[in-house]
Amino acid sequence: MTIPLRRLTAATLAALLAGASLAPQAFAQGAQAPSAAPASDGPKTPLPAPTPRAPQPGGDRRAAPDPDWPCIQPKVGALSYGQMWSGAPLEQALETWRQDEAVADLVPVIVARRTKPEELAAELDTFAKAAGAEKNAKLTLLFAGAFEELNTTRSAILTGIERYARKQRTLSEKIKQESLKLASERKDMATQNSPEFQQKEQERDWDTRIYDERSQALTYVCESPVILEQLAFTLGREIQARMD
Amino acid sequence: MTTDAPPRRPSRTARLLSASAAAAALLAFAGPASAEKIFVSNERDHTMSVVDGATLKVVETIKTGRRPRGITASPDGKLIYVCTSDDNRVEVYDSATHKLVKTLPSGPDPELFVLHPSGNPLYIANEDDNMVTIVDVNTGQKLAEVPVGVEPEGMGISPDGKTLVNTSETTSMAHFIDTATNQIVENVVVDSRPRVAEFRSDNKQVWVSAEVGGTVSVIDPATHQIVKKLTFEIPGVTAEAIQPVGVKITKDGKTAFVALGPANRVAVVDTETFAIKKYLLVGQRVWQLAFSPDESRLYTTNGNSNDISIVDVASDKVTKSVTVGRSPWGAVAVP
Repeated sequence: MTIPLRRLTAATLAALLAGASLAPQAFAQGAQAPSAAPASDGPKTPLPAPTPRAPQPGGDRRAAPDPDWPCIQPKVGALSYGQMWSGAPLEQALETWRQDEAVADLVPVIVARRTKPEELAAELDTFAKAAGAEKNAKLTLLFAGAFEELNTTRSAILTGIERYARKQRTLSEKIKQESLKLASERKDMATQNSPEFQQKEQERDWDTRIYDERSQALTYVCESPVILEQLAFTLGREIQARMD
Repeated sequence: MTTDAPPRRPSRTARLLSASAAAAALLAFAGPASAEKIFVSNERDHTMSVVDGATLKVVETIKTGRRPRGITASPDGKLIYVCTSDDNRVEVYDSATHKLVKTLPSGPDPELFVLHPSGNPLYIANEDDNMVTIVDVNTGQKLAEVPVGVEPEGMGISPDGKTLVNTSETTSMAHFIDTATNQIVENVVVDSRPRVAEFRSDNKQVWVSAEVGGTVSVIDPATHQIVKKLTFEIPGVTAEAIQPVGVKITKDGKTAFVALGPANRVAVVDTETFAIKKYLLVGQRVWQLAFSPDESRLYTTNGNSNDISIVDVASDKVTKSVTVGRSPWGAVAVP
């Protein structure tokens, strides 16, 4: 049943050429409209020849390689508030939230990762109650503040991850050079037992250990931007749930 | 059944009685009244969450094969089909007992599939193989393979079962396949990375979402012409975050819902005027959509917030979110 794509393309082209002369005839006989032509005539638009996979966009596990982006998670730049906020535009609130004392006090609490969900819910309930008639406006300011803080922290982490990746690349190059040098110097027992050689070897081993530990830490570091985005979304959802 | 266990071993009669009572209880539960269940495939957990439609609580988490993605149900709602992409097969579960009934061959890396409206056969997109595999769900036999474009994914079938539409992500085409001959009738070029194809119930429109292109092409299946290309604009959301994926159209054909990926929104669209009525804020990276059997609700799978959102279709309001497994991918609801 399997038809090689190449053969199909040739057949398709042949059908296309044949169809060009046959179709009007069939139409003249009142058989069928061209669009309802039998499948054996093949498609008017042929399949292209097999193409390699196109570079994959962000949001996909096969993201295009970026030497400065070491994470499996796709790199997503700054967050946009509309991804987590369906209320009124936030432009003004983003400018003014710091002027509101209650908002400015609560923002650091709700964006802290140590704040537990039940504590968050209690803080938001108290804040909403205290805001009284101004509840919607105050909650909007609160989200604007939380969003800005999280976005800023997140951007700093993104920059940090890229710096981290560059450092790892430099370190890996250094380990390579150290190993090559040690290999070329490892001529006889006397050299290998010399304090200089052993010191170099120890240095290479330390660098390797640092490299390995940093690589392992990367798994956690890479999760950070995603965790912050999730937190921003959760805050948006919780805050909007308290608005009328 | 499991509560209040008697301290002593009961007599044989008592055990028989309790067994028959249990059977009666099961039968009572199988009744049609408000017994809706939602099955959600969790791509990263290799599980399927079962959500009770009445209480909206997860009642069971079923371990599946690796990387479950596409999910659908038989027309009678008794069987649940799941693509387990990394195990290269389709798994079939009993929707009442939640047990694995059998597995079907799928070809490599099955991602999405669609059942013929009659319930057989199953049309499967093989992401790594540039093929659509057709499988008889009763005999488990592969009936045919249709070569398509690169990275086939979206699968839609016309209500009369005569036309299958497959989309290929890299080739950026919607392939119209005649199900009588299993041959491609026409290829329609759409925008970049088409993900899902969905027919309107009157067979007059096929909606094809393009994730990277950020558009939905509405195609007339009779002429294979794109009659409308929908674009989306949401205040406060960057254009890159708008990535259309899941599409569902109500049975009356009037309203389409389009999941917009990392925009975390679902667009509500009038299928006649193509006016976008609303952008509902659901969960993070909203991926696929499913209606409840009576279409009173729409369920959305939110891959990054690890939950499903429940949308009230009549009022176009998001009423609740339910946490499921990690990276929920697809959902199906059965009565």
